Order: sequence, then structure tokens, then C-alpha cells
Amino acid sequence: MIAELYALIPRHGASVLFLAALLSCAGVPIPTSALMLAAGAFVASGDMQFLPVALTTLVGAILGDQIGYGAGRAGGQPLWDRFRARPKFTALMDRAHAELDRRAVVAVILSRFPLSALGPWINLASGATRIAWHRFTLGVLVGDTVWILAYLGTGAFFAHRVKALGTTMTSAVIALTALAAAIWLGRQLWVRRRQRAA
Amino acid sequence: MPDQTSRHPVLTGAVIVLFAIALGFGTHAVWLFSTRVLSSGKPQVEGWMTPRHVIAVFNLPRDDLAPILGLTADDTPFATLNDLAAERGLAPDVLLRQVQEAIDRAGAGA
Repeated sequence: MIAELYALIPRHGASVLFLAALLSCAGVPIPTSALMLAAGAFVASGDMQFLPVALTTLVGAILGDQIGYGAGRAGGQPLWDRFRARPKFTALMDRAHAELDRRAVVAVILSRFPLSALGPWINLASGATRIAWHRFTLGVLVGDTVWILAYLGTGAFFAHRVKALGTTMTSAVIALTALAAAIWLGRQLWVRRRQRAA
Repeated sequence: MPDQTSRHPVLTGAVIVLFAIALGFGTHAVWLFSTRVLSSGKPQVEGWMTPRHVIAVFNLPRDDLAPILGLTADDTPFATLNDLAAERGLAPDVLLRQVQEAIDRAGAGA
């Protein structure tokens, strides 16, 4: 399956990366990171040029992120409010909102890399909670650039093991994302416990 | 002091599950990286690879690959081996076997 996706790059060029980045950042589950590793390997062998590949992917990713943010802004607020209305979630979601608002740029950057699995969700949450567009876009610009450079560079360096590397990176990203979510949720529980004890 | 887990069983459970997922996938990632990515074993040629990729990854001299893929002196197409096989009217497996044999002959697998 992944080999079929890799084969699309020689057939259609960097436009595959543009489309994959756009769709995955908008929330469609597409293995864009694995495609970038393969593109890095093609850059290393001289089949592709680094700059056009990186820029094309970056434009696709930014557009996809904007779609997610726009969707959150247009339709996410009622959904957010519905969950927030449940007493069990109110405090948790208010704290999440406050933290996202306070550290919007850093949260958006980290959700591109290394916590890529959170990216589409952070896009929706940013729109739904009305994070300022310029702060969101700044985070996206920096985060997507780091994400793309990291994967293209790693693919170029490990060009001889690009398929194995794709699986490895997927597992690593899931592990890091789960760890970050566990730490964040654990911290929320700890804070609530201390507040109750006080 | 009341037991915290009894007050937030769902959230506490979620934390435990998330830690378990992190541990499982983290171990998997480390295992894959050490056994597959850093492996000294030779990678196999595959249909999605391109001529330049094969030359670079397997340290195969271009002159050894050119007759198999029908490459001209200054044309190394950005196309997969599967597509090149189709252009030449060959089954992909046949072409891949020929390329793998050339790599083995050259004794130059990465």
C-alpha cells in the first residue's frame, strides 16, 4: 500500500505532496509524513530538487491548516459549547481553552512536529475557540516548516531505509502524542485535586 | 482524603490507557529503528524505486543498470521500475529480478 503511494511521486511529481499535505492538514488521514520521507530519498538521489518540493508541500500544508481552522471557526463553536455544557467537561475544557489561548503559537508549532497526530484537532480547536488568525498562522508557518524540513531531511539521510523509517516514525509520533496527552491530562487531574484539597 | 481515581474514573483510566499506548508504540519504534533502520542487512530492490534511487542506494554503477532499463547516455528518467518495466513490455517481477541480479553481481548492495 505505502509502496503504491511512493510510486505516485515519480508519476505526478511534487503535486502529490501538495495534495497530500493539504488533505492531511485538513483532517483526512493520509500518510503525508511517509510521502515526505520518500520525497527526501528522491531528493538525495537527484530525482527531485529540494526547494520546489519543500515549498510546494509547505503551501499545501498551510492551505490545509487554514481549511481546518476555518471549519472550526465556522462550525466548531456549537460543538465546543455542547461538550462544555456537560458539567464533567466544563472545567477541563475551560482550562484547555485558556492554555490554548495563552500558548497558541507554541501549541500549534508542537502539533505540527513532533505531535503531528494532533495537528488537525488543534486546527479545529483553534478555530472553534477563536484563537487570533495571525497567531494561528504564525504557528502554522513555523511548525509546518519544521515538520517538512525534518521529514525531507530524515528521508534524504536514511534513503536506503525509507520504508522501514516510515513505519518507525509513525510509531514514534503516536507514542509521543499519547505521552503528551497523558501528561497534559494527568496534570489537569493533579491541578483539580490540589484545588479541591485547598 | 478521598481516592482521586474514584472521582474521575474515566479521566484516570484515559491517562493510564494513554501511557500504555505511549509505552507500546515507543517500544515498537525503538525496536523498528534498531532492527530495520540501523540494520546492516541489504535492502531489496522494489518496484516504486527509480533508476537514480537504485544507483544511489545500492552503489550500483549506472553502466550496469543502463542495459537492463534501456537508459541512454544522458537520460535517467524519474520513473518507477514498475513503470519502466511496463514501457519495455516486461512483467515487473522480471525486471526487478534482473536489477537485483545486477546489484548482486556488482556486490555493491548498501
